[in-house]
Amino acid sequence: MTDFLLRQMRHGVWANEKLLDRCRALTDEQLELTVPGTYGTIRNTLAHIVASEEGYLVRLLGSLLHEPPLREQDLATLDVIAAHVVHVTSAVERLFAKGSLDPDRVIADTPLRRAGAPRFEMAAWAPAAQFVYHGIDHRSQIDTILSTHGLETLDLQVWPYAMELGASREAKEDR
Amino acid sequence: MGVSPLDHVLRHNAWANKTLLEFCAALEPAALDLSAAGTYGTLYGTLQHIVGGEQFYIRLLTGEVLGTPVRKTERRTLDDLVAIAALTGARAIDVAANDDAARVISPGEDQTTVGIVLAQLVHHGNEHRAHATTILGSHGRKTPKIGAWTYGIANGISRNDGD
Repeated sequence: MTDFLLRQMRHGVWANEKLLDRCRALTDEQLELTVPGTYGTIRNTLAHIVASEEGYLVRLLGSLLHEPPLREQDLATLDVIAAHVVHVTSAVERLFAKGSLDPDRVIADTPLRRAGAPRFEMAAWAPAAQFVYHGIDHRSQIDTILSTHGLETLDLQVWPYAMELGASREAKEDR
Repeated sequence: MGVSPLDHVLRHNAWANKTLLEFCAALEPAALDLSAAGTYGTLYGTLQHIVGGEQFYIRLLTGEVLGTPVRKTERRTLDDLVAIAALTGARAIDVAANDDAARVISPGEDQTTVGIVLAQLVHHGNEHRAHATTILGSHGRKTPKIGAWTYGIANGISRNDGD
């Protein structure tokens, strides 16, 4: 049986990929659109999602996914973001390669901590739960930006994801 | 191994609903009619939709409607919504702990599983809470911190307040 949290994180990866594909159809000007109350531009929000997910996974795995990590202040192109989505996808699978996550394992530090920054100890469940929350929160903001500017939005709910996987479907009754 | 990560995801969901609803209950009533382009609707409508959606998902999972049914056409008090969200939040945690994620359920002519409905419940709450904070932020208002980091701090089980 697939770990439920793994499925949840895979849904996030799937949604990121869909959103990235949608963003590739936008012009450079459209990628710089934003609305008040959201994180920032579409491009920056997408980069923030992926950079943060890398951060959570680095903390959980205890090692860098690759060098250099995606930094939010970089003006990342969609190609750069896409390359990092691949790292996130791979890291999610590695995280569960040996079975379920031990939620109470204390993580003492992160390899991404900058010099002079405070060190936080935390149980493994915290960055895992934040991974799920954070992606949905900011993808919703991109959806809001697209919709506000009259651009086509995506259905990134779990229902279409499950339909794609064949895990949810219309039941055909034998008659 | 203690409480599972999924359990924490669902506890965060219940906590975030409560925190957001109580934050909004402290606003002046007119604020509940605020809206922002590209979101679900008014702040009140969004809160009601979050709770009504969760009530619907629990009905799919258990066959039970917890609390008085939330209908789009009836305005409920925020205290009512807080009470219903407490029931549905707790039940979701119970279902995740005791039901089989692969159990097939058939709402109408569709067929899905317990795990998929729970995943959608988490997605739905997070997505629409983001709408609520966008509405507040777009009107220059303070927004509640409802991320998992803050949930951990509020419950004394995490000290990180990062993003």
